[in-house]
Amino acid sequence: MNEFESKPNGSSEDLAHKVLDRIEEERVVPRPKWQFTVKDRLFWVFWILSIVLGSLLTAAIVFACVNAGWEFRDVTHHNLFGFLLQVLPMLWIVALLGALLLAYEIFRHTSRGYRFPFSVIVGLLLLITVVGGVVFYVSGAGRVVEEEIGARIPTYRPVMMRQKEMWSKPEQGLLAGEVLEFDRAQSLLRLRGFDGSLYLMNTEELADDSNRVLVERESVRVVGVFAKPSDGPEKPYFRPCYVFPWDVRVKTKNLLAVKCDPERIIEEPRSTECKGLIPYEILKTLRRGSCR
Amino acid sequence: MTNHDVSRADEDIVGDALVQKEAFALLVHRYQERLTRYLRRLGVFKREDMEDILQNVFLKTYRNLNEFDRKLKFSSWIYRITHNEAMSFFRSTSSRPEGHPVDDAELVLEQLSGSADTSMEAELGLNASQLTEAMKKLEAKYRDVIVLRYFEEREYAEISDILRIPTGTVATLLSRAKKRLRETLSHLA
Repeated sequence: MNEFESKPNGSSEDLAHKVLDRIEEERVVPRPKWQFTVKDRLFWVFWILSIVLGSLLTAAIVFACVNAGWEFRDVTHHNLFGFLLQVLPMLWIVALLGALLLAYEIFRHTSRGYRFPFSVIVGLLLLITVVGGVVFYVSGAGRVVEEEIGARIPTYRPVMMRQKEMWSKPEQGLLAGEVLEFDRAQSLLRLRGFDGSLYLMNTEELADDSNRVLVERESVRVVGVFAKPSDGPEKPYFRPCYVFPWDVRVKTKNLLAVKCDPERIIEEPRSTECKGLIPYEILKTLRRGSCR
Repeated sequence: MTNHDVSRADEDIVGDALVQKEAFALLVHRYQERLTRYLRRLGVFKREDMEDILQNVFLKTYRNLNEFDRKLKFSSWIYRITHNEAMSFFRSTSSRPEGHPVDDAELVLEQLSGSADTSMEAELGLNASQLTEAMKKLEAKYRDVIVLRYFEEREYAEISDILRIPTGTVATLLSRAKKRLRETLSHLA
């Protein structure tokens, strides 16, 4: 038996005396209850804050994903992986994981939080965060986080900025920008790309729906052909084949919902130049699909 | 200590100690021996260390009496404080000696054997010193639950409150600990 324990009853008295003496000497007093109550409440306040932060980040992720340009994925990227790599808001995703981890740790350190299994706590956090995220997204907070806060973070590029970069590749047939002038009679389009470049285009071979987009919209996406004549004095030019509104989600839906005029479902390209357009077949399928 | 004192619940004495510190001595009397044994099982052997830790445990308990949640058992709460204080001690000394539960090993061996499908003791011809040897080889997280369950005879819910882990995790750790203990014991036999 241990020496300390083996002492007669006197040792228990000794320890009690020693403890009471130290209480006396060090003037130890029980900490007031309100301090523990405040500490407990603070844990819950920080837990709620981390949940709100997680919900805001979820809303921003939803906003970024919804506005990622899925409609044109086959046009802008060769495969899904490349597309996801470019459009997924990794900063928000990493921050969300951090917020969830924080919320988990805070919950575990509440007075009874340790009693809940990991799966229950994580499931609860995910449920609350997703519901909160949807609420914030619907209320517009997701856009504020993604576009306004995201724009202030030096290393982060909001989804619309990334889309503008995706659509500033005329050599790959993708161009987007602001319509400066469109003269339908003269088939002339002046467009300022989102990268600041100016383009003058001949639109005589555009279909009616594309012409309508140019009339109605201030900002557009143009799928076309970038041609560099091999010799002669001609400068490189961009031949537009299809025009879509910049605001993808709503406007494209409207555009695709055009009446199924058989004349529009043309099997052949309207020009020999557009025939060489890589996403041409995809775009043609996209239009035909909308008329089924 | 009067008969009245002996029959009183710990939770009631906590209430008294908040009003009159002398009442706290009763809790010291009640828990000193149990906590001394527990500390030794956790690996604190030196008398001076043990006394320091125990004094700190009781001072912390007194200082935080208002934090005591009456929905918990007082014993679980003071065991938790003791466990945390012992872990702080091991961290500060940068070492955790192996447990040394020889005095109860025979009894614990019986309990462990009873919980197995067959009687390990009879089958493997084990003895207390072999159990002690096997306990030394267990990881700390497994040794902690074995000590609490079989040496301190705590319920799962109490172990959950002491170690601040879910009850399901207690069951998992115990199951793994017993499995490893059996494996080690079968090698030793």
